[in-house]
Amino acid sequence: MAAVIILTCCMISTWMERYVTSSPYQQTLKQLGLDYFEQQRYDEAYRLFVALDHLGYPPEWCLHYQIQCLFRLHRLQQAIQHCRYAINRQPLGRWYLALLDLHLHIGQHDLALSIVRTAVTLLDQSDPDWDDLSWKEQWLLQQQSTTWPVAQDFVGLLPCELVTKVFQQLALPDLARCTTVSRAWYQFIHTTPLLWQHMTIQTYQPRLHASTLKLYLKRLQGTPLLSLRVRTHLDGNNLLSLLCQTNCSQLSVIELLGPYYATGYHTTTKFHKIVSLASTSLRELKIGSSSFRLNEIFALVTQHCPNLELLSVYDCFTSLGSSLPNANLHHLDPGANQRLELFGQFVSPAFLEYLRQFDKQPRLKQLSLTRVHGLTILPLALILLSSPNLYSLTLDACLVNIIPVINILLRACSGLRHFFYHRNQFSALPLTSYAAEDSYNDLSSWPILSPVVEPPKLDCLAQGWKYLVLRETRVLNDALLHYLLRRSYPTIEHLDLQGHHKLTDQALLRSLPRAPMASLRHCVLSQCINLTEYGLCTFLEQCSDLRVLHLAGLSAVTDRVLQVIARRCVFLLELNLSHCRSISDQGLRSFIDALLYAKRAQSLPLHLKDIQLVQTNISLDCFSRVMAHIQRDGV
Amino acid sequence: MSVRLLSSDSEDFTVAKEVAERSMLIKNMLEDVGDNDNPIPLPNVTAKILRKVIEWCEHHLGDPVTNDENERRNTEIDEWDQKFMEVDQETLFDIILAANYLDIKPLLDVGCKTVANMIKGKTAEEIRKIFNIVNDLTPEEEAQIRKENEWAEDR
Repeated sequence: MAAVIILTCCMISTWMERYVTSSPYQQTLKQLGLDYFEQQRYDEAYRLFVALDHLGYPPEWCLHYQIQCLFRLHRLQQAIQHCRYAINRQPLGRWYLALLDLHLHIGQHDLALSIVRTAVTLLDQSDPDWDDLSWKEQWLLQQQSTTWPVAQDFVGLLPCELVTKVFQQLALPDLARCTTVSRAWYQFIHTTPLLWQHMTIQTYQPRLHASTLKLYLKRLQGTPLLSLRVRTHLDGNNLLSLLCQTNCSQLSVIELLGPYYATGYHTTTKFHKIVSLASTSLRELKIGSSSFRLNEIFALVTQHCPNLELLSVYDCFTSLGSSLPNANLHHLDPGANQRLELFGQFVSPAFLEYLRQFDKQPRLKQLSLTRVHGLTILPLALILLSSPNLYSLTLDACLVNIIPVINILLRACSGLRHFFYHRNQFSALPLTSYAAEDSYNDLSSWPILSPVVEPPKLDCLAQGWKYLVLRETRVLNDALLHYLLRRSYPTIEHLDLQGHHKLTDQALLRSLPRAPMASLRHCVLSQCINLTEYGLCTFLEQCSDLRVLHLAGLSAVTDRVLQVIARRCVFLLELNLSHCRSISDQGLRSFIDALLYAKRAQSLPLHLKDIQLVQTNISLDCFSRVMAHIQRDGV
Repeated sequence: MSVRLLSSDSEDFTVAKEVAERSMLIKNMLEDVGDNDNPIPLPNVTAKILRKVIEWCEHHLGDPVTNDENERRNTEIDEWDQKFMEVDQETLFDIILAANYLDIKPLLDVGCKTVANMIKGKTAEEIRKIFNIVNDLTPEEEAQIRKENEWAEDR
């Protein structure tokens, strides 16, 4: 074999000298080379093709075969050099294709893609291999997602409006960080006012100064601001001043849950200006500070913002006794405060007549009042009677009594489905202090006593509660609860009656058997200490869809109750049994076993994620057993 | 009732009319042209991307159409869409371009949100890596911009 090769080489050099221009011999050589190639004698073939090249045979043809030989001889680097040489000589699609194959063979996909990209852009479409290259490019791109990533700067790649759309999805801190990515990004973000229309500033960004905010608002360049949510502690007066200089004509959300306001800076004047600027576009307003007055805010939005859907006011005062509009309502209904404490009473005709002169808030769906100091029933009645389509009402720590509120609701908001009422500002009263509570506010002598005699004629509040939270009202008894719920048993989903000493089993069993609370998902009966084991068992038998159950502080929760829960409430996620001192180790163990058994029977994982057992008589041993089955635990 | 679509690389797709009408462009074209058996040429969309887009339209056939800007802005991408968008960046951008051209707003939203999610919570350096961007700001400029946005840096 070696002899043949040497012989061939000798022959080539001899021929080279003798027949430089003789084409018949070139033809012979060519044929010989192709024969060798065919016979997979690539080494010999390669030499012949090199010789032919030197002899002046068309170089494209020679190079092609040289590369093919080198490729098959696995002399890849040499082959790549040949390709690059060929491309430099004459950029043809075939060389790119060859180079591409070589790089792919080595596994350099990224290089291959860049080569094919260059080729497709550089070459003319008339090149016979252009289609092939383009196909290869597509193929490589398809491969790319699974095997290797190629990244691209979309700013500059996508049209401006689409880049804007992407950036519009980002919150303010993300957008701010994006400006430091590159010059193009900086320029784009800075000069696109549309990106600055929605501003949300969260509590975890406390270092944002008003000066920065000013800079951001400036970038709007007169384009209207659409929403502003500030949930961090910053100078509210400064913020309001900035807003006064901003285009607020289409502002639909104002949420100022963190700013503080130093007094004496025309806070309310500026606020009035902004609200009147936003006027019909305003949908959502959340505001609070001692600088504001509830009745003023309501009067303001009634005057300017007919499209308001959500109003949330917290930590402010009412302006009773001042000379402001709606400030003094008591002359219209003297003695209302006392009279409305009686169930079934209503405001005076004079008060209703007075209300008629005001516009209504037809679109107001959600109203939330938290810690509104000095709130009495008449200002609240004014708001409720002006909001005929209210869907959700929250009264948290407002110190207004429940009966007057119910009296108003019965005849005002017929669409109300969600009601949260928690009068007590200090909800986390320790259990022991409950004994002394009646001396704090003795309501037992008040004339709302069972049974409820006459239901009011204009009874609107009966179309079906979905969400009812009445905590620690001290007056709620079985009869009143039944009155409130009597048409809502099938619809109620969330019922929270925490801290009602007057409720007995009757409250729970009244609905049975005709109309069990079939939709009930979330039930809180904590500290309703007059419930009995029988009542709980019978009630829970009907609640097969419960997700959350709080029975804290109930001595009636015995092992038997736990058995009922385990058997019936298989979807339970959260169970609070704190202060339930009647539960034994044995009972809790069999509870967990029963739960696991029920689940295993349906081959489902245990739903229960949270069980609270604060201050119970459970031993550590049993506790650790519970821990083993439940992921998270309140200790 | 079906419609024929012709991709830029001349691949012929036959899809149900309701599917094709998720694209406002095609819907308007069909209204203009009326019943006609000729394929609709889509010169800006390759077969590969068109296949993806049709897949998306078929999956989201029954979706209600919302015109509420806020609602569209605030909804998260569902699980199927997230899986659907697990493609390389080039394909992702091509889908966005195609959705824009074909006027399929919900798909455009999903695409833009996907890109935005790649940015969310990342530092500038991480963003540069993700999109293969060279930082061409001078150190002085960068320091200046950084100072301006200092509050956004710590997360």
